[in-house]
Amino acid sequence: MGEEDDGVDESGTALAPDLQPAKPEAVRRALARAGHIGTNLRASVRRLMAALAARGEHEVSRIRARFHSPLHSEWLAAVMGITLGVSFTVCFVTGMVDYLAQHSPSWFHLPVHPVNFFRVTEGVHVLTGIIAIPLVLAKLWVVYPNFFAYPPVRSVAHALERISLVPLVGGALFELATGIANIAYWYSPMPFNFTVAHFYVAWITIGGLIVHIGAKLSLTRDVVSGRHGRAAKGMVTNTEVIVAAKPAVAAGLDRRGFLAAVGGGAGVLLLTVAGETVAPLRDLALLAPRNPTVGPQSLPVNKTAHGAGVIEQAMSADYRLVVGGKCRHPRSFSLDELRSLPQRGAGLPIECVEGWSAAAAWRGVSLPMLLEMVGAPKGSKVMVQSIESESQLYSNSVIDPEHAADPDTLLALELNGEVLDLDHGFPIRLIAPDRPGVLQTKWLRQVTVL
Amino acid sequence: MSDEAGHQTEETPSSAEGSAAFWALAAIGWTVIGVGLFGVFDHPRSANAFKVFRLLVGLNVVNDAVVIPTLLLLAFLVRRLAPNWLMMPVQVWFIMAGAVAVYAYPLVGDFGRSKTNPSILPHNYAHSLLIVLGCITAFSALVAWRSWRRARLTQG
Repeated sequence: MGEEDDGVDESGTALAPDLQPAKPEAVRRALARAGHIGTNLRASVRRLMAALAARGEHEVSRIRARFHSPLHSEWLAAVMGITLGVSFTVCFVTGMVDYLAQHSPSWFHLPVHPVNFFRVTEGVHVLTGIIAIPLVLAKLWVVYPNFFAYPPVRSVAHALERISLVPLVGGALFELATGIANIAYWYSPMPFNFTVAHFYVAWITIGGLIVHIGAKLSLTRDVVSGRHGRAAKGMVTNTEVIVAAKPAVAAGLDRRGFLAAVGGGAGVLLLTVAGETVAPLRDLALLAPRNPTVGPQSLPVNKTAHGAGVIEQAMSADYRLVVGGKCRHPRSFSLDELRSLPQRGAGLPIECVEGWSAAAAWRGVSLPMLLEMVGAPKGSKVMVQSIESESQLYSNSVIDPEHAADPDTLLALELNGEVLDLDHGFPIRLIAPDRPGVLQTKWLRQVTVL
Repeated sequence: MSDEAGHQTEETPSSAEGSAAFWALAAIGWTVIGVGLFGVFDHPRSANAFKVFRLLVGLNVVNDAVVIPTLLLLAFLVRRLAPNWLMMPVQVWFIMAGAVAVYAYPLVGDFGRSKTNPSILPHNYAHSLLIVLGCITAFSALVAWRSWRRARLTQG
C-alpha cells in the first residue's frame, strides 16, 4: 500500500489532519534511502548487463574472426545444404518404403512387380545414407562458426530455428551412427530396437530439416539463382556465417576444391560398398559388410539354423508341413509329398534390410497352386510360420492376397539347383517377389489361410 | 557491414525468418518432429526413449565439443607446420580418408563378426581399409606433386 493511502479510513473517508498517524522521520528517511538504493541497484544491473553484452559480443566477434577460411562461407553452406537436403529426402522416402514393407499396416503392401522394387529402394536407402557421412561431417565443419552467433537468439523465429538444430544435427548423427552400426551387425551400442528408433528419429530429423529449410529459404534461393554469388564469393559477413578471407590463407582448398574432395570421399565409399547389391561393382566392394556370393550355396544368410535353434526339428524324419485355416481341405504334407507335387522355378532376388541383395534360382511348390489344392478362397491372405520359437522376431509373416496369388511365390525346396541348405531354410522356405528378406520365412512348419 | 579489414561489403540477402514461408515450414517441421517424438515415446519397450535421446543429444554434444574442435586444432597445426603447397593435398587426404575411416570403424573393429555365420563381414576389413587409404594417399600424392610444381613455377 502506498503512502497516499495514509490518512484514509477503511471506508475511504479522509481523516482530519490531527487524527492522521504521525510517521516517524527515521522511517521516512529509511524508505527514501531504500528507494534510492533500489534505483541505483537497477541502474547498476543494467550497466552490468550492458557491459557483459558488449564483452560477450566482443569475445564472440574475436572467436568468429578466427574462422577466416573461405571454407566457412554461406555459399558453401548453402550448396552443402542443398546436397544434404536431397540426400536426406531420398533416404527418408526410401526408408519409409522399407519400414512399411517390413511392418506393413493394413493399407500398405509392396507391389508384386517389378520384383526388384524393394531391392532398389533398400539399396538406395543404405547407399545414400553411407554417402551422406562425408556430406554431414563437411556441412557441420562449414557452419561451425554459427555456434558463436551473436546474439544467440534475436527473435522468437530465430529461437525456433536454432532449437530445431538439435533434432536436425543430433538426429542426422543418430541416423548415420545407428545405420552404420546396423549394417556392420554391431548392436551393443544400441540399447533399443534399431528399426523402431531409426524410423522415428528419421521423422525427428526430417522435421528439423523442414524448419531449417524455412529459415534458409531465401538465402538458398539466392545461391541457386546466382544472385548471391557475387556477394558471398566476395567474402561477406553476416550474423550467421562469418567469412573474411585473407589472401594469405588461399594456399589450401578453395570452395570448389572442398566440394570436390567431399564428393571424392562420398565416391570412394560408394565404389567400395555398392558391390554388395550392384553386381558389376562386386570386385571393388572391399568395405561392403556382405559379399553376395559368400555363404552356403553361394548366397549369404542372416540367421543360421544353429542361431535359430531349429536343427533338430528341421532335420527330423517326421517333418510335415501343415496347411490349414479357412480352407475346405486342410491337410499336411511330408517332404516327399511336397517334392512329388508339380515344381516351379523362379529367379528372384533375396534382399536384406542391411542393404545387400543377390539374385538366385529357386525351385519349389507354387503357393497359389497349393492354396487351390486345399480349397482356399481366392484372394485370401496367408500366414506362414517357422519352426523357430514364436518368441523370435519374424518367426512368422503374413502374405498379402496379391503376393499369395502370384505363381512365383514359392514354398522353395531347392536353391541354385541343389536341395535347400539348412541355413537357407531346409526343408522348405518362403520366397516371394519383392519382399524384405526378413519376411521370406525359413524352416516352415505351417501355412494358414486367414 | 564490413569485413575484418573494415572494408564495406555488400549486405547479404535478408533472412527468411519471420516470413510466411518460414512460419508455414516451421509449423510443418515441428509437427513432423512431434510425430517422431510421439513414435519414440509410444514404443516404450522397443524404442527406449531415454536411451534414444541420450544418444541423440550425446552425439550433438560430442560433435560440437570434441570432434569439430579437434579438427580445428588439427587444421591449425597443419596450417602452422605444412608449407603452402602441401596444404591442399593434406586437406584432400583428411577429408577423403576421414570419411572412409568413420564408416569403416565398426567393420575394422570386427564388432559384429559371427563365429557361426561366415557370410557376415566376410572380408579382412583392416586389410581392405589399408588398401583404400593407400589409394587415397596415392591420389593425394599426385595432388601434392601438382601443387609443388605449381608453387615452384610461381616462385621461379
